[in-house]
Amino acid sequence: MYLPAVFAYVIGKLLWHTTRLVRIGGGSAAPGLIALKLNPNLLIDIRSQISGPCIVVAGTNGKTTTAALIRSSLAQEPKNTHILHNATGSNLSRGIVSAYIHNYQLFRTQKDYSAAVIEVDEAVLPQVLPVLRPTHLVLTNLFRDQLDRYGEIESIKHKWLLALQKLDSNCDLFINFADPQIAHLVSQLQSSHLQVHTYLLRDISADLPDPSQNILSPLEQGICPACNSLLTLRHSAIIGQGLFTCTTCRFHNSDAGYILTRDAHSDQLVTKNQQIFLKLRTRHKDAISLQNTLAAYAVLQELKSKITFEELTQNSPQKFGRFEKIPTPEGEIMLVLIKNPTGFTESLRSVTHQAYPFQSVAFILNDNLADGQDISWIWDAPLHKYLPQKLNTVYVSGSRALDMSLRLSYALPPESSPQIIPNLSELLQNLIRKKDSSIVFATYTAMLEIQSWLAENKIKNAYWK
Amino acid sequence: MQLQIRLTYLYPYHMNLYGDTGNILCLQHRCQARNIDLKIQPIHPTDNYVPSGTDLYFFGGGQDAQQLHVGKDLLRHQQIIREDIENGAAALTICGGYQLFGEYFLTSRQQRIPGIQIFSAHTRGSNHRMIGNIICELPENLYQQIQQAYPNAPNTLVGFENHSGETILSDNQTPLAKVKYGYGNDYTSKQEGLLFHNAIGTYMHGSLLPKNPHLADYIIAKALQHRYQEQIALLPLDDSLALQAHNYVLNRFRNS
Repeated sequence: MYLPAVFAYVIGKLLWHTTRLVRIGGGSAAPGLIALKLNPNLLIDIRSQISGPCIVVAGTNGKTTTAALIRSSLAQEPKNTHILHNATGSNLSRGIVSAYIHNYQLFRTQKDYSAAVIEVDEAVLPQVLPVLRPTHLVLTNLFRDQLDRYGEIESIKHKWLLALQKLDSNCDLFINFADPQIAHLVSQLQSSHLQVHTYLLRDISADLPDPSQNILSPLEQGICPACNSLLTLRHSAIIGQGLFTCTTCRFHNSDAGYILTRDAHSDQLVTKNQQIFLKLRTRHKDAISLQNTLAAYAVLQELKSKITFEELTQNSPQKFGRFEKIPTPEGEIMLVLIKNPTGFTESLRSVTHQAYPFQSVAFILNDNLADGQDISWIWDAPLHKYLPQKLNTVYVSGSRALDMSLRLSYALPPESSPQIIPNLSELLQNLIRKKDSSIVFATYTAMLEIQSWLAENKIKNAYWK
Repeated sequence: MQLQIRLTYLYPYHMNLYGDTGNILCLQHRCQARNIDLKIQPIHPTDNYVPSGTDLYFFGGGQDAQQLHVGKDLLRHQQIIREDIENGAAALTICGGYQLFGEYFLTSRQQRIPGIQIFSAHTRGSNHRMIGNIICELPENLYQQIQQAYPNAPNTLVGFENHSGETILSDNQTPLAKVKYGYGNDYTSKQEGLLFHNAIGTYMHGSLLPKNPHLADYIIAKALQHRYQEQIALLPLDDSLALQAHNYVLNRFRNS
């Protein structure tokens, strides 16, 4: 026998108040964790209170941003006064329940949600799919990430496939067609409940090397997911993604429902059956943001939202260490979350290509469970290629500061050799005092520490506010 | 005369799972610092290249499906790799690569992937996932040889392991090292890796070589010896940062 849901929520809510009172955190995970211990079926109960669309976003990278874009656009519609959303990237079951508890009104009748926008961890997706029964599901991409926690891509893909096949409610599935793994997953799907929509970002002026042409920046996307031969990749806007063809089995992608094409001068959007053809003023945007926006746009189009692509790029929320800019008295700090080689490389590439000039850089590498205990991925990102050779300052911190310094010693000239500052507060203070722009790359738990520090020092609002 | 080492990189696109690139970067860096020309020749499935004149083989880890894929192709090169290793060429094989250098790998789904039988060892999929930091102590023999290449070498190796395959060595085979923290070849034996002539099999990634510069130099020295048939002393490098990172792992995990 489990505690009735309502008691679990009340206890969770009291805990939520307590964590804030004593300032031990934002309550983005613990209240949900405890409530789920008291009643493991809470997600079913929560789902029953969502009367409108239930949108789920999953994938290795881009979940938080894509979900935030969809949420903020939906929130502009008068009918959507009450949206369930796990905003802080807390994307295990406990995070979803915590988001619900956050809004929970003690001793009142709870109002139904007009919509839900929920990001879900890739390992958790198979368990929560049958419970959340999404009306809309976005799969952003799938690549190597925290192998110690998630295991191999193959096994995740297999579990996703089984869960998707079993889904017995109708669902609009939005997939990133430029990602060979996602495209392959969907090619194996046979389900009358799923309506597949594809989106694809490509860059016809791309200077990106085909990953299969460089043995020293190996990424699994160079391999055909269908037959394990080599893939050729063209028009790649993001590493390992683009127009691909297998040299052996001919597995390939081509047209998609929503295609955004970049060339050297402009961006153009073409949607299904040429219903929309637009020249966009989004050339200054980096490829990752653009791809997330495209995913959100596709969902919103199917939801009959009136928002235009450009409006969507303009209200792109700066979320929690995803290229988040913090102004300082005489400069600026940009915060970038890192967790896997592809994301790390793509972030580095974005900041250099975006011509975001930075003179100082800090790397904070932790190896807690939530960061991934295996830090070997820092060796898979070709740092020498994207780090400017002239830097004023290079700081390193975190439990694996020495490993990061060693990695950087392979990528930077001796005169830019990194300085280890174990104390995070000291490191941030130093950066804030600088008269230049700096970038802080940090793993997940390090980013939480940074956010708490910034809030404590009144530099920005707490991430849970 | 500039010294040269010919490195054959087995299946770099398919087998590169756990920071294996870092090992190549480390070898490149240490050779370059000594003006040794490290020639890297990749081998891919179905290409026509034959790895002749190899002084050093490198073979990383991969996912099961990719391991199966390259495993079939590897059999083509069995003969030449065996001869090279028996003639003293060096090799560093890690995780999946280590398993494929053995007799066979029986996956947990009872799929049998034949290896090229350089190592008298076989691997079985298990229900244990052996994940975490790993610290090993070098046996006296190997330690002495490493000291010849790297006089102030620590007698330890540090890395990270992530495997469910358990590798069982035949009775006459020598393990690479003794596990002080972590798992190693299997769940219980406290032995890690295998050393056969100058070929190393190991489950340690992380990447292995940057934090174990003494092992990197040992491998370089053996490769040079294979090429020039004499011992060539290596210029010492400043490894203070690498050894600090090495010691950090020792101090943090050894007594826990």
